[in-house]
Amino acid sequence: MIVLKTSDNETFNVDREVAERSVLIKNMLDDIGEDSDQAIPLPNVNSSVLKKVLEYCEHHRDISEWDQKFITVDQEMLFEIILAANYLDIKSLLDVGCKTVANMIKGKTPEEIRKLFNIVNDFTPEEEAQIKKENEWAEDR
Amino acid sequence: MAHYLSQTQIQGPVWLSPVDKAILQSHVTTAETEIKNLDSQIEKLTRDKDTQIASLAFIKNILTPVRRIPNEILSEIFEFVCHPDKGEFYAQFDTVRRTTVLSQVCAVWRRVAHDTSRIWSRLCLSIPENRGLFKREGQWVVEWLSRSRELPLELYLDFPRDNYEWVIEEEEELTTYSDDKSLVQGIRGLLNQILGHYPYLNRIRSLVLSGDPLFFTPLFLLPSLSLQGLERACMQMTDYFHGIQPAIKNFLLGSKLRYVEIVDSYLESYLETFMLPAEQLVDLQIVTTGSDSDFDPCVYADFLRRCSSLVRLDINPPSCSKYNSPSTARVSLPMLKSLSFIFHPSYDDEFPGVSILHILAVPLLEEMTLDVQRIELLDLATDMTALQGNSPTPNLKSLTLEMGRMHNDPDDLTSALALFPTITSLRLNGILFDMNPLFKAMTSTQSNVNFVLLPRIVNLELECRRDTAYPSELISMILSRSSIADAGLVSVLQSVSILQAHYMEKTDEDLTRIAELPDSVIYSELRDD
Repeated sequence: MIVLKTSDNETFNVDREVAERSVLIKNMLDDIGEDSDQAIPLPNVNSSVLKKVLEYCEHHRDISEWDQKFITVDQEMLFEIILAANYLDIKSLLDVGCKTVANMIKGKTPEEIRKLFNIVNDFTPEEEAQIKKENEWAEDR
Repeated sequence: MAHYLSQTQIQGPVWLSPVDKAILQSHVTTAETEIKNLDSQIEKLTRDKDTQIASLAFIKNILTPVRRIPNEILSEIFEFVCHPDKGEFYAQFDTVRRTTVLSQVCAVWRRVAHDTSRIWSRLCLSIPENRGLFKREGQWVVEWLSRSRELPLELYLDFPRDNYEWVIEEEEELTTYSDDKSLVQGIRGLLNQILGHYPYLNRIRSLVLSGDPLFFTPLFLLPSLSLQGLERACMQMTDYFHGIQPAIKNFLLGSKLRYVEIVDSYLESYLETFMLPAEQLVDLQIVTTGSDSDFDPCVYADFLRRCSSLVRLDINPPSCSKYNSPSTARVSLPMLKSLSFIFHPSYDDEFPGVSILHILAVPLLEEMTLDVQRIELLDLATDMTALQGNSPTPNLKSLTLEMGRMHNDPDDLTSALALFPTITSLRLNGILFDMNPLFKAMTSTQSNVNFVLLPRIVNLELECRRDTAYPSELISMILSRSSIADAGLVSVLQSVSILQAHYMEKTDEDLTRIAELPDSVIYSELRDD
């Protein structure tokens, strides 16, 4: 077992094999050596997110159904998981997160995407004009 | 006045004294002033509300979790958005809409989308899907492809001749897309924009062409050596080439073409229409009409003779009587490892044809898929004997048989499989008959270890298509091989799976026997809905 320490100073005892799904943690463990019992600091991940990430690492199988159920979380948690997976370098989890966001985007108009993610349309008038031009073809069928 | 004010309806002519009139007019003035004040307050409140809404949106825009995502991850998300769910790109996939939408959400997304070169490197264009695009000036495509930076380009073009969705009015003269001159011009203009830029031309790695050759003329008229980066070409076009064949023969020459997929018509094979660099091809897929083509099927054998580097071949050529002649030269494919073949019966009673397998020599073959749905399994045995006679296939490890339509004799299947003693994986699709004779022949006993059927098999997959009894001999066969494995002559089965197992009716005895299987055998029953 190894110990992981989060940004809010919580510690997690984790099976080494599970933790090593993170390339970052694996590299850190390689650096400090096999026998060290010092906690691995993870200053960019808080305890609630790490708990969720570890759940993924422990239960991850190549079953999309499981992945789908796992990633059914609110937007805040979804993007935090993506950030954590990126920071911890867990490619499979990062892909699941990115694919989930991609599926949320697919089939929507720019306005619907803005509404979904609370994004403000901040184009300049010149960009707006350019975008209008780009869309002309769609009206001509 | 008080009388009138207390009633909800005016019952007759109104009579008011001058004093009453003045009082009422004063009320009117007061009310009007109050309304103006309220309007002004509402206006101010609406303005304040709008300001708050804008402020809230601005704050949410900062707070929203999607804003915390680094651009490289956003870019990765964009790639997933612009990738088909099933993995393979195709001409009707809406790359243009998906990519455009991403670049129209906000300034950051536009910048990240424009910087994600991969989503601009695959362009799928289809007349039914994107017709309006071809009426625009073709300059847009230059901008589009410029965002792909230095990446190899893939073009998926679907320009069909017929418009199946058009409702033809009485006075409507246009009946096909090909008759729409402005559309033809628009598409040619677009292709010229792409082909006119040497850097793009040189970076085209994959071309998928479907439709009327008329639309592709600018591409076909390219001189040889133009498409130097091209590695993959897929062509499925209508057979009318508008008399341009002589001029278009060379456009694929000088390329790095390795992968070719063609769907031939019955008039002429693309192998004759275009000069293909046969010697450098590693993967070739040819779909033919099967039997009713107007040209000599030997064109396929002639072409294959030149394919000395071919590693994978997927083909369904018609049978041909010349393949049965001793004077016909063999087709040697010295590098071939994977062969997928669909058999067609011969309909010519006077000069019955045989399959091209009769002249194939494939010494390095490792996997083979044979579709025998249209022939008797007895014919398969004949063809396989001829193939093995041309050159043994000692490396053949994997065999898939697509059965299904014919009601074959189980003993013919056993005879055919006896020709594949080296295979370790067998998949039988479309089982319609009793499999017990096969499993009996595969059952190993102390006395038959030297001639048991398929002695090296370790993976077995069965797929059922119709209600049938569970083959009771299957489990006995698996167990027989587990118990005498020490002999080393017969392999132990490692995995057995039955697809569409719900078609098979099992008895209680079958269930008991399945439970007896050792842990070393992975036994699974799957249902593919």
